Amino acid sequence: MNINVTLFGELITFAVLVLVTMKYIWPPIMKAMAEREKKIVDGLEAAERGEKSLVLAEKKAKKQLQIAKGEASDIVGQANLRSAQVVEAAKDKAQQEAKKIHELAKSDIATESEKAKQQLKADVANLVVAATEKLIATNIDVATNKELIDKFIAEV
Amino acid sequence: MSFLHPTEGEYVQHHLTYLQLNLHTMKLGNGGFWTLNIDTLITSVVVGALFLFFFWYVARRATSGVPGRLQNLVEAIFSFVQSMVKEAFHGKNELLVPLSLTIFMWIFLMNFMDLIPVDLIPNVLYIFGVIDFRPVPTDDLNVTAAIALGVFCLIIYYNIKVKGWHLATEILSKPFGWWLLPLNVLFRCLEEVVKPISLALRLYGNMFAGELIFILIALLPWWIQWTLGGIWSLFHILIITLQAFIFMMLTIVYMSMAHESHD
Repeated sequence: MNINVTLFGELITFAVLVLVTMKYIWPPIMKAMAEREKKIVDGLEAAERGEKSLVLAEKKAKKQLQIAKGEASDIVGQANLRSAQVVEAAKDKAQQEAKKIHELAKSDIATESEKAKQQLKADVANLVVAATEKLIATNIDVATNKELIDKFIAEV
Repeated sequence: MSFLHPTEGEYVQHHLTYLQLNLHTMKLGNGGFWTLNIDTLITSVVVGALFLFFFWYVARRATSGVPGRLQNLVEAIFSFVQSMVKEAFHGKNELLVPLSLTIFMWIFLMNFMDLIPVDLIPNVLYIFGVIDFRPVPTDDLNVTAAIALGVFCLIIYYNIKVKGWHLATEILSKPFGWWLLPLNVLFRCLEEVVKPISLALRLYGNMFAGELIFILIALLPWWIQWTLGGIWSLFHILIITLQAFIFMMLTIVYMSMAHESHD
């Protein structure tokens, strides 16, 4: 064991090392580490906040979806009602129209048949006269015969 | 055994001789107290500068974003030292963490010189005309005593700074009460003096013994050296780290004692 002046040399070296470490090495690394720690803490907080807002948004979306579903079913119901009404109205209208046409046709048929009857009456009279003329030849008084025939036809 | 030193005695002697500068004559050789151990000084300063440069290099480009590999390493050491300080020290002290870091890293690196093959540095230097060179600074009591003395001064300083007049009553009345005042003072002095001595001698003793065993292993025949050498090297990795850690830890504990009253 020999203690000598080296001791003081080493003492100075030690002091310099400690001072340099304290002044130039410790602070920047400490700062970086503290900053990173803060960043991580902030990040975690932000993540938590994000998660919370996500849950909230999901709830909101669900609620809105439910409202929309209700509205949609309302709308469908109304539409169904309306369409039924429309169909009912159209049915009524069609029935009325059909009735109208029916009536019209009925009256048409009546007039036509009357007309035909008249025509037929005339035609029959002429035909009978012609036929009788041919049957009984000439000596029969045309006027008398016509009178007889007309009488007959009117009775028909 | 080395080709430079044919007998065992000479070989061991060579490895236990410092490269010394006599400050009286300014020539190589032992000059009593006024002697500089040049080898110790050079190695410790180089190693200390390496430590500072490496950490400074990392500190200069330290980012709070994603750290690189080097920054990761440095930060791991930082948080290790910081957690040790937090665990054992509850006062407020700006100096203590950098101090502990410096002690740990510097001692670790100086101890690490012990793992470099015992003959490598001395023999290379021998070629350049340096006859004796001991490459392990902590294998020199001057280094360990210097660090211990530094810590001792800080302990005294903070004792006075933190406790003020309360320190006087503490020295005079603890632990036996006012009636055994002289005994109290004696105990306190012993307690304080033992701290640096035990710090210095523990580290020096461990490293000296470690180095000596490496030297003795080197005396074995070359074909058997790897067995003991390998085992001792592995074991020594543990020792150098442990000794650096113990020195740091005790410094923290002593500083903590200086900050807290005994009552």
